[in-house]
Amino acid sequence: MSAPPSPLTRLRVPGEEDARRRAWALARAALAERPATVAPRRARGRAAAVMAGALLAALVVAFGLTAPGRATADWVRAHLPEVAGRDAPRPAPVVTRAAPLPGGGRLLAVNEQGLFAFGLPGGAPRELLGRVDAAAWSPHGRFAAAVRGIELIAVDLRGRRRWSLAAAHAIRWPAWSPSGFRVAYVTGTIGTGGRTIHVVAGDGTGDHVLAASGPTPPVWQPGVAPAERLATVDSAGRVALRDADSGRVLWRARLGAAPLQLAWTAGGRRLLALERRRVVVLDAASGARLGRTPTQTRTTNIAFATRPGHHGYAVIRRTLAPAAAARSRVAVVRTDAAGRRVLDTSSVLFAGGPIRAVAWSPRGDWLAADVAGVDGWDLVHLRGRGVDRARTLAAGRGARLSGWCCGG
Amino acid sequence: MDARPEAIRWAGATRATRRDGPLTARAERAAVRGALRGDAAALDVLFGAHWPAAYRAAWLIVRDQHAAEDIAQEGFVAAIRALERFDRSRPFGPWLRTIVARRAIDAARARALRREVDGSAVLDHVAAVADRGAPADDLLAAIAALPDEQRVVVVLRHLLELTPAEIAGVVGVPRGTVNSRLRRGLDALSREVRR
Repeated sequence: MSAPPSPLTRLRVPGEEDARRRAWALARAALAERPATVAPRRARGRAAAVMAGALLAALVVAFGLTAPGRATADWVRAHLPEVAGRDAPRPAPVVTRAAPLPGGGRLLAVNEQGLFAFGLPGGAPRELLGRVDAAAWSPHGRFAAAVRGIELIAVDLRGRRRWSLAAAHAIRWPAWSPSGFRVAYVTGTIGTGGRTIHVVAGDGTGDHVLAASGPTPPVWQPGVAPAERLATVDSAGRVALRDADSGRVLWRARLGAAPLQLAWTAGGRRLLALERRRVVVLDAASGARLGRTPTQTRTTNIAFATRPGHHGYAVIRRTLAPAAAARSRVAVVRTDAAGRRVLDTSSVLFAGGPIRAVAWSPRGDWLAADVAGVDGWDLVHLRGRGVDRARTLAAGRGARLSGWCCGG
Repeated sequence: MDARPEAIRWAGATRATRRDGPLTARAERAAVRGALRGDAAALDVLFGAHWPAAYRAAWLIVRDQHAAEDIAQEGFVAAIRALERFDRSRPFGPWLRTIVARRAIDAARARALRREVDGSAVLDHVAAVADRGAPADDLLAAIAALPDEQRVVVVLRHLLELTPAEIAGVVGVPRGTVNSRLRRGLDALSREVRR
């Protein structure tokens, strides 16, 4: 019975695809901004009120404008609330709620408006600070360390500054130690006399230089409390494990090139070094090379994150072919318990443009991916080697994924 | 093809592939319910089904790429923000299309008053595209060349699929005038395309 579609529906007009991409980002943001609503149901009370009204009308018609009729109508009108069960038909309630964060825990977003936390009690994203450059969670997610230019700021979940310090040069890569008693950051540039790693106590005191820094963010070793150890890359591109208080080097390891990123396996027994074409596995005790993945020929690595509660990690890879330079994917790599051998790899997310960061939920079942150009993140739930659920989380214009932590 | 920015797609079998084009009434109702719950996949379905026509119609009415993008974008965003006020017993598409049509016509009138564009640049572009020979481009060129009053009703009727009565309401002319403009516009189109 439906008419055939008009030929006009097949027209393509200039600029459509670009406009579509931009419009989709805005539409998704608009959806995220509006409160989720439960579709209103027709209330029984409303139906009863309608029936009572009909009864009143019928009685008016039946009795006309006679005195007994008016009296009866007045009685019905007076008793309408009893008949209807309420004073008057009320509008159906619209239930407002914020969608819970899948995977639990708390997500930290740095967007153009400021620093926001997702997954806090109440559900709604909470602004912790105005515009910042970078941020990281404290180990239990009670504080965030944020960077604004040359300033390092510790802020609590109510947005109160607990302490701050200023460096001589721009700060980057804030990282809170697993114990919560130390915060590391890097400041300076090669042009300003060198990049240095600083460590400050968790209350903002005792700021000191730990070592020169290479081009890679330092990462705290978990599972060694009360010791505080930091894996770093020095200016010569060597990986080193240092005591964060004394600065003593526990070991050094030279890889083929300075790694892009370091990450500890759960428990801190292995250190993974992400290189452009492979991942190298180092022993936490000695720095010995335990294994490495095969050299990739078609993709280059961008960033990775080890998976809590599992053996493996998620890695962002970008294709090398010039025609598809911007294509990226997130691969989930499963390894053996020692971390030496890759058991399998499955790609779980693809994007035409760059993917900037990934983060695991505290249980390691959900993975968040920060795709450039999208004002939010893609969250996928992994089951076996594939994705069985996917969500998007609008995190504001230009949002950068800055950490997913800990729950509670 | 995926409508999502940067062509994001997930591996795995659970996410239905989005298709452009008409939705069944049932699928559309389900998508509206999902969007009300904040489900981005449901929004994707509505977006894929309705945004292309909205953009094309806006483009054909205002004949300006940037204005058309603004109109379609703002229309869709306005529809999303007003979703809970939408009468779900009625189809979503015509509601959205009416929003976009009103905005496009308002924009076209405002631009005509300000004499911002006369459409010649667009016509040049369309003519250049049409020279490459695709039949759809011939049609596009022919529509873009119609006089404003005929082009608007042709687009509203045959791209946005509004009824003549709805067009009369949107454009603010009697229904008979809509029909006569439509007739003249289609006749002109037919002559152009057969040339």
